[in-house]
Amino acid sequence: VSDYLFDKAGRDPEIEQLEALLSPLAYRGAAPALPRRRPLWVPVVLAAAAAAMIAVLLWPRSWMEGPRVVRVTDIGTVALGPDTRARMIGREQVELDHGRLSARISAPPRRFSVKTRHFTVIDLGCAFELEVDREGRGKLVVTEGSVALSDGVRETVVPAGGACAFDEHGAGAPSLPQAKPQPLVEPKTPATIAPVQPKPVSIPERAAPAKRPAPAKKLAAPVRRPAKKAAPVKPAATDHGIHLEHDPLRDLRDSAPR
Amino acid sequence: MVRALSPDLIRAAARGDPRAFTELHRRYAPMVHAVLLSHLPPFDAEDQVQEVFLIAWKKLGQLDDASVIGAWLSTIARHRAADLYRRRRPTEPLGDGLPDPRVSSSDVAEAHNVLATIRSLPEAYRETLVMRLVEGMSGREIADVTGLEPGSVRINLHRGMKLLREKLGIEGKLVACE
Repeated sequence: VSDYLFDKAGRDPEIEQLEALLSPLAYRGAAPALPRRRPLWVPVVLAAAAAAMIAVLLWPRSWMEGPRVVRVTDIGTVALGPDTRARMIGREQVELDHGRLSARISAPPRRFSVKTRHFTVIDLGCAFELEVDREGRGKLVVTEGSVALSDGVRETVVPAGGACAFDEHGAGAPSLPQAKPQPLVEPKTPATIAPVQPKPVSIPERAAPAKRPAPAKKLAAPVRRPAKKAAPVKPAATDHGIHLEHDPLRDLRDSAPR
Repeated sequence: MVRALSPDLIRAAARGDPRAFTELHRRYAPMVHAVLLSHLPPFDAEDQVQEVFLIAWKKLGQLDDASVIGAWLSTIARHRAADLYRRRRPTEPLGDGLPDPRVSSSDVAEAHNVLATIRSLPEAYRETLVMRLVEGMSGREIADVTGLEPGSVRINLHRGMKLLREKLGIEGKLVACE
C-alpha cells in the first residue's frame, strides 16, 4: 500500500494518473455573495422597543397631586382637593389613593367609577364627594343622584343627600337623606276620628282601670301618609286579660317622678 | 494546504464578519464540494456548494461548538444533496455515470466515468476518495477539515482505493496507457 495515497509522500503513478484525470472537477468557485445579515442587536432593540410600547399602553397613568381639576372624557369633571393623590386607571376610572375628591358626572349609570383601597364608588348619574385617608377608610357624601358603593361582592346604594362611611371591614349603613320641610297645607277635609266607646270589659283585680282612649284630634299638620280614619281600638287579650295598644298605665308609670 | 479554521475565526463568521466567512469558505469549500460530488453530478455539485454556504451564513450563529464546523457543513451538504435527489428523482435519475453533456473532452468523460464508479462505493469511502483524488487534499488535511481521526481517514482511503481498483478493473491499466 502506497503512502502516497495518504500523505502524498513518494510516488504512485496509478494514483497520480487518477488525480490528473479527476482534478479538473475540483472546486474552484468563489465564495457566494452574502446577503446582508441583520446585526444581532437589531432584534434585541426591536423586542425592547415593542416591550416598552406595550408597557406604556398597559401601565397605569402616573399619580396626580391635588388640588387640581381633571376632566373625565366628555362626561364630567373631578376636582381633587389639597393633599390628595389620585390617578386615572382608565378613560373613565379614577383611583383615589388618599385625599378628597368631588365628582360631577353626567353619564349613563356605572360608566364612571372611583376605586379606593377597599371600595369602589360607582356613579349612577350624580355628583358626590369622596374622602379617603391613607388607610383606605373614608366617607362618601352624595349631593345629587345616587351612587353605589361596592366592595366587589355587595353594593350599597346611597341616594342624594345621604352619606356612607366605609373602612376595611365594610361599609356602614348609609345615613338617610334629611327630609325637606314640606309646606303646611290644611287638609281639605280634616280627618276626624270618631270617639270610641270602649266596651265594658272585666278587669282583673290587679289590673289598673282601663283608661278611655284619647278622643280623636284634628290633625294639626299634614302628615306624609294620607290620613286615615282611626279604627276603634280593639282590646286584645293579654296576660292580665286585656291589652291595649296604648297603655295609659305605662305612660303614667314612665312619667312619674322617681 | 487546507487546515481547519480557528474557533475565533468561526465565531467571527458567526457574528457576521464577511471576511471571516470568506476564509471559512476558502478552507471548507473543497470538502463540501467533495461531499456533494459524492452524491450529485459535477454541474449540480458546484451550484450546491454556494447554497450550502448560504445556509451556513444564516445558521452559523446556532452552532454551539466551533470544533465541529466540518461535520456540520458536511451534514448540511448531505441534506442538500438528498433534497435535490428527492426533488429530481421522478424525472432525472442521478448518479447514472453519464458524462456531463456540457463537456466534450474524452478525458473529462473518462473522469465522469471514474467519478460515477466512486459514487457507487460506500459513503465513507467515496467522500474521502473524492477529497483525495478530486480536490487534491492529503489524508491529514482531510482529517483536519472533517474532524475524523487521521487513522480513520487512512483506512477509508486505502479500503476505498482497493474497491475502486476492483470496480474499474484498472489495476496497472492506467499506468500501462502512459
